[in-house]
Amino acid sequence: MGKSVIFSHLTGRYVTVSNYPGTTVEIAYGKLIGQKNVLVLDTPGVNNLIPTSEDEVVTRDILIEHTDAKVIQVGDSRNLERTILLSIQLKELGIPFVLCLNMTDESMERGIEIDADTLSKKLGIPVVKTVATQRIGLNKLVPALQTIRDNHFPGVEYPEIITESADSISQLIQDDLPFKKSISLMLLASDLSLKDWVHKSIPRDQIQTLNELLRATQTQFQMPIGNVITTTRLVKARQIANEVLTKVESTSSSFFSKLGEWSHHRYAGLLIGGIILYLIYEFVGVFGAGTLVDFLEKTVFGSWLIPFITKVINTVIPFQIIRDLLVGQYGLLSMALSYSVAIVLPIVGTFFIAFGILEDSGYLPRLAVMMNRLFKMMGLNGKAVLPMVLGLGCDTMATMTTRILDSKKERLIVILLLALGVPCSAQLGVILGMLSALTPAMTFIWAGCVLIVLFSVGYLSSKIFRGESSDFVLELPPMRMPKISNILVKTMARIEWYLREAVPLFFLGTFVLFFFDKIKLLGIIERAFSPVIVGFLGLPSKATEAFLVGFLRRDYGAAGLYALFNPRMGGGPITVETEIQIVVSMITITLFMPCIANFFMIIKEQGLKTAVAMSVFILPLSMGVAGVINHVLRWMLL
Amino acid sequence: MSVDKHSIEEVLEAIWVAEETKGAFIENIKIVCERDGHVIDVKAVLDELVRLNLVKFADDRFQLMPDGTNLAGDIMRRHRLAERLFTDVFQVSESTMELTACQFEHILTSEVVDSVCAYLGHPPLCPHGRPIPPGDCCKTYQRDQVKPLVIRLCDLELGKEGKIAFVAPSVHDRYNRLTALGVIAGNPIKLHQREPSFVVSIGETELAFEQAIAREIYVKAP
Repeated sequence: MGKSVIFSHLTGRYVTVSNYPGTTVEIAYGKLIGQKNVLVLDTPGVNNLIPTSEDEVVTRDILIEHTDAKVIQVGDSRNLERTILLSIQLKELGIPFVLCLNMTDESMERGIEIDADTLSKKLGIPVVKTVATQRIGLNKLVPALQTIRDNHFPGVEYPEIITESADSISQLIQDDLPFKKSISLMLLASDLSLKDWVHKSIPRDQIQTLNELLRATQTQFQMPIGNVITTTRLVKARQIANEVLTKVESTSSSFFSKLGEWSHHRYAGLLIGGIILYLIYEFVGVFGAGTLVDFLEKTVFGSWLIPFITKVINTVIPFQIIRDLLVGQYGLLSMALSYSVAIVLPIVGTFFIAFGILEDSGYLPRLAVMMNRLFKMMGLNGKAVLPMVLGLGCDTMATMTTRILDSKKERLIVILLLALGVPCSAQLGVILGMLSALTPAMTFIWAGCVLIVLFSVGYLSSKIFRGESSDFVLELPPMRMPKISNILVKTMARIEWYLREAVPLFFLGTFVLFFFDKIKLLGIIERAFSPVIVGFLGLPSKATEAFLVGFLRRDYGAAGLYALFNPRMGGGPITVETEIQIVVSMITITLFMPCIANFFMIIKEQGLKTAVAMSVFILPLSMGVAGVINHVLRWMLL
Repeated sequence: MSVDKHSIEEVLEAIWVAEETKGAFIENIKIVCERDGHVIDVKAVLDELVRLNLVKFADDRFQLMPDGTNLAGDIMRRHRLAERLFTDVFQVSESTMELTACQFEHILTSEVVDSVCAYLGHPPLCPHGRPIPPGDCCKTYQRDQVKPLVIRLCDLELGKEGKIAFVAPSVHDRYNRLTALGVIAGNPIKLHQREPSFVVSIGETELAFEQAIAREIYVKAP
């Protein structure tokens, strides 16, 4: 709806902006530009203050906890009724707020005209029209916050029984608490997410009375009271909307709305999906992981930078051990820096650009439409496609985004699948780069194997995990031409994040290898794991090193494998033996343990026990699957 | 003495039921009223009905006049459709059903009744096996063999726009979610595709959802 853009404008801070609902899952904080003592919060979007998912609960809680706050409600001017439905609830809460009618450009294009002055009078609040993406009207928001007066809003007339019960309930609530009337209505709507609040704010001996009141009121209605309340508000919202709306015939649909239609069509959608997949492969796999990596690794680092640095260091530093630490076999510069900058960065960069385009165009929710059926079989619904595809960018980020899913069970399944087998961009890029050198069949074996494992694990966990799956209901934002500035800003922010997050771990991993090597532990570990790595997986024992750093980051592990196999891939034809080794190691590293950052995020989201349980499940599974593939391929091809 | 509308409807209903069973003698009418748990001065109401020319008294029994028949038929229709709705759709117990149906018959508007009727596929009999007086909607349905007035969204033709008649969610959570997204009775809704998921537009909003939900949205066909 544009909240995040407006937040960036107010605070100068960047938060993830994209063209699908539910991007904001964490609250962002920032200081208001020019007024350092004013704190600005960016909350997840809500349709209704009677929440149906966790991110909506977050927003509702912020509203009832920050009693001294002023609010900017960012509403979609194309859907005035829904916007007003929320305004009515804010008004009922009694929070001072400004209504920001965003996307007025798109509503104008569709022939919708809104009389902001009348709306402002009807609701008793300032109303500001904006086009956030073009910064139009944003400067009026803060001044408008200062013009809020306690203007009267006649409110919504609920059925008498509801009003009476709400009054009785508000008498049970401690005197000094704000929003009593509104919260009484929320309680009547049997909002279970308020349970904690109830236990804090209502004396224990009164809770029984409250429950009886709620039950008694419900018996008076056939419909759940929540529905009665929402319907009553809606009638009012529609009445107001009708008074301020003028509709003119809109112009015929553009190319982009056609494209949007095709991209979720049952057949055309598959074609478009295929084309997009191919383009991404060409851009990230061939251009990023091939051309760019070749240039950076072989030319810039291999024949220029590293030899030069080595020369300098060898002359300047007299101690062999320091030389080894910096430019030796496990050197921080020769290994960590060239891995992260020469191999992983170009891939991550190209992927983030491709992903940014997908995000900004509005394609991803349409992909959800295509995938719903498949996801249903895994106890999920199409909405889960968003965190899953985001996982191709970064599993850690995606694990956090699972909060847009509506049920605990779905969140758990998606987090497990992300940790198990959704390769993040860096890893995916390296993998695609390597696979592109092999016969195409190998790519299919790798992809098929990973997808089958993902699907089977998803299917089984949907049967094993308890809980409900939720409905697939998703709003499709309009398809639009991606804005280059948006993509650049996003890509830069993500690369910055990557450098900050990943590169230190690369250095740490390299240092661990260096240390293990120096104390001769590396050889021991390699020998110890030899039965598994060499015997079962059929890989060179050096691969152990890659898996070792894979515990830190899967992409680092993948990069290690790349470095291991790269010498054998240049020049002449690749032997079948090597092809099998590459595909087996790729399967292992794809299904490998979640990286450290992701592991911590799982702990944060699901608790330590779940995180450990997942890892214990994933490690043997990845090795097992890869081992089986190894033996099958050898039996078939050698 | 004035007689309220509620009592009139109850007694008309009792006459109808008594006629169907043991004949509309005053005792039978009283028995039906008592069985339904109404405390009504039946005698006074009957006098009023006769005065309004809805009912006539002949051969010891009461008989519905044409206007009275229409009124009573409407009430019976509402009552028995409500019974069907509660047993078929909500599967509530017999006693709850009876009590609720009794309340429903007084508040439902004819538009809602027709929607319920169409929703249930114009049922001819109530759960007890007694006939449900057909409404206008049933007549259209039978005569032309055309689609019912209100159809499920999943049966709407592709590319056609209908008006949402009502939403009958089988899961509590759905109603609020759909409502907040604009799936509200009265809004025009256009069906764009069925496969692989349903895509509709309501006003300026484009929504996608699965078939289970499309089955629970009822639209007035164009």
